[in-house]
Amino acid sequence: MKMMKPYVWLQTSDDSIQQVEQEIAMFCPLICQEIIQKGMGSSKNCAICLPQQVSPAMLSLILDYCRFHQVPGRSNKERKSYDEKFVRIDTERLCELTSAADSLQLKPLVDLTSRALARIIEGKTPEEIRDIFHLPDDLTENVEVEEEHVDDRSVDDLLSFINGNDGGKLNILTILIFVFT
Amino acid sequence: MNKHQQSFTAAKNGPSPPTADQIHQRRKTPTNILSLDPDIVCTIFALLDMFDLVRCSLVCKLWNAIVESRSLREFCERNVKNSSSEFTEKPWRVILGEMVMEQHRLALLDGGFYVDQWKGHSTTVAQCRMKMGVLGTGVGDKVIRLWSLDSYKCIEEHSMPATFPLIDFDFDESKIVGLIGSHLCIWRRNGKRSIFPSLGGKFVKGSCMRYLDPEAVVGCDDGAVRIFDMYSRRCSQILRMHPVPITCLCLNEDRLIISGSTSGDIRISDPSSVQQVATLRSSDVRGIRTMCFNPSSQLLFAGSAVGCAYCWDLRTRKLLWSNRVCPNVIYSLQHMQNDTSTLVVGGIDGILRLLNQNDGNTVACFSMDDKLLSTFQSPSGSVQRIKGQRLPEDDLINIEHLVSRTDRPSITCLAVGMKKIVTTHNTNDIRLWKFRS
Repeated sequence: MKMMKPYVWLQTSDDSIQQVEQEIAMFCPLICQEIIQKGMGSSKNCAICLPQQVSPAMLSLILDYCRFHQVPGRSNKERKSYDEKFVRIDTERLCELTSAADSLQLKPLVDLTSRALARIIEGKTPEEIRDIFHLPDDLTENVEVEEEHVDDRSVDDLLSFINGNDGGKLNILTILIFVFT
Repeated sequence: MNKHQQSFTAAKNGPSPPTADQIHQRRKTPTNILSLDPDIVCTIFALLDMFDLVRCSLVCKLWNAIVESRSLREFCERNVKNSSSEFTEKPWRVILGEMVMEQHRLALLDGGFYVDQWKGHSTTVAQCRMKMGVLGTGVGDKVIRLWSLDSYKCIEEHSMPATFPLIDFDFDESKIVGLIGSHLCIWRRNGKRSIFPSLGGKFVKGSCMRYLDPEAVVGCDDGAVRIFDMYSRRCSQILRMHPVPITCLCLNEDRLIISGSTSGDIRISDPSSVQQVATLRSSDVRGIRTMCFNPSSQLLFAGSAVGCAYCWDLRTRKLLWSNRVCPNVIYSLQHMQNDTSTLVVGGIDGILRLLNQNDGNTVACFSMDDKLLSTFQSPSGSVQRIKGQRLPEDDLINIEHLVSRTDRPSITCLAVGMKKIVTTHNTNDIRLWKFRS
């Protein structure tokens, strides 16, 4: 293996190439593998091509995270409060960050952002969740078909299904939609 | 597969470097949660509790597929490690059923609510029943109406045959059974109807009726119940249950007949053995006005003319609790089918009260506010949406003065469905109280 170099060249999804401290970049298992196993990143010409999910903005966020945690001697409390502040970003960026961290196999950051996303979801109705994450309301079309199928059944009817009086003909989904929306 | 997911897959597999256009596109539609790997979505879901998870499964097709693919149970097993043994031994239906009941309970207990009110009958309507989410209303004018509660549309209307007034009725998927004067009338939901004299020529006024196929049971003013076979149209049995008029009836799956009377006693009879099985005594000499039986817990609830609510365990026939919950007559008490937590009580003071089925304590009180939120048209006329208000719980009986008399007409009957209560008031209004969780 070659001697460790202080810097490594990374190419982000917009094709721009930048130089970052190797010590920090090595925190990401994917980058680490590229360097050690393939000897990549040592120059601008053989820059490590990062996955599509990693935009320059995300890379810079991820490197901030790595830079903080790479410093030895920080207390757990310090790390925790840094993490808390770190994920106080808008939901879209949080998703983007999760996706980018996952593509770099940076598990601690994936866990952190997943927890943050879970907290966003907690206690929300399906409608609110759809609004927050801009998700399509594509279940209802399906359900209308189902409703015809089960001939105008309603929640109270579905309850008897839950309680075992029906032959299990109904899709559990239909029940859930009635009850939770 | 939806659009987002498709474009994501394409981007992932596409070997060509992104063009300037694509980069622009990326900026316009930034990575959203849909483009996350299903495994990450699972990681997120695994951090949620059952309720949130079920809600997530209703967000969109992709999330639904993710939740279904791993099965909620698997997530929950991962989640609820401490209580997992008890939790996972229960069948899935049971877990789901409990969740549904919990939702219902919480919505009634804490949720916001509004009241939708519409003129359901031309003169007055006193009684309502709810089955399978369909509402049946009648008693007071010449028709029984069935309503869809989603659209407030009257889906069926059945008219009374002769000049007799309707006294009591109930219905199921295929028929409506009514007690009309001294006759029983069966309307097929497909239109046909048949009437037969219920009291064998001899006129004794019936006051209440319940049926359990194939028998209809009529409680009469002479203290007897008369059992009719609805198919042969004959009176098959007469049971002398009380020395005083019968006011209300309950039937259970074992075909026991439970009747309440004006004396305040409740008697249980088994028609197959003729013998009277038991008497449940209330301290209320002005009489029992209404009863309901919960097959899930085998508890019998009764409301009296002085505002007391009672609860007996039908297996031991012991009184579990009794409580004065209203200042005056309780006309109706009901719970949602299979719900063993909440009992809804309504009476002359027009305030809806929520009791804990297990100890009889009042946990919430509701009335209508005088604030009209909106008016909208339904297929059956205009519906007023009125703000609901929760009343303070410190002095639960004497809260009448908090709401003006005109805003709380007496509740003559109520029916309870999932996160909703229907009330009738012996006016021409039907009210639907809808709760959010």
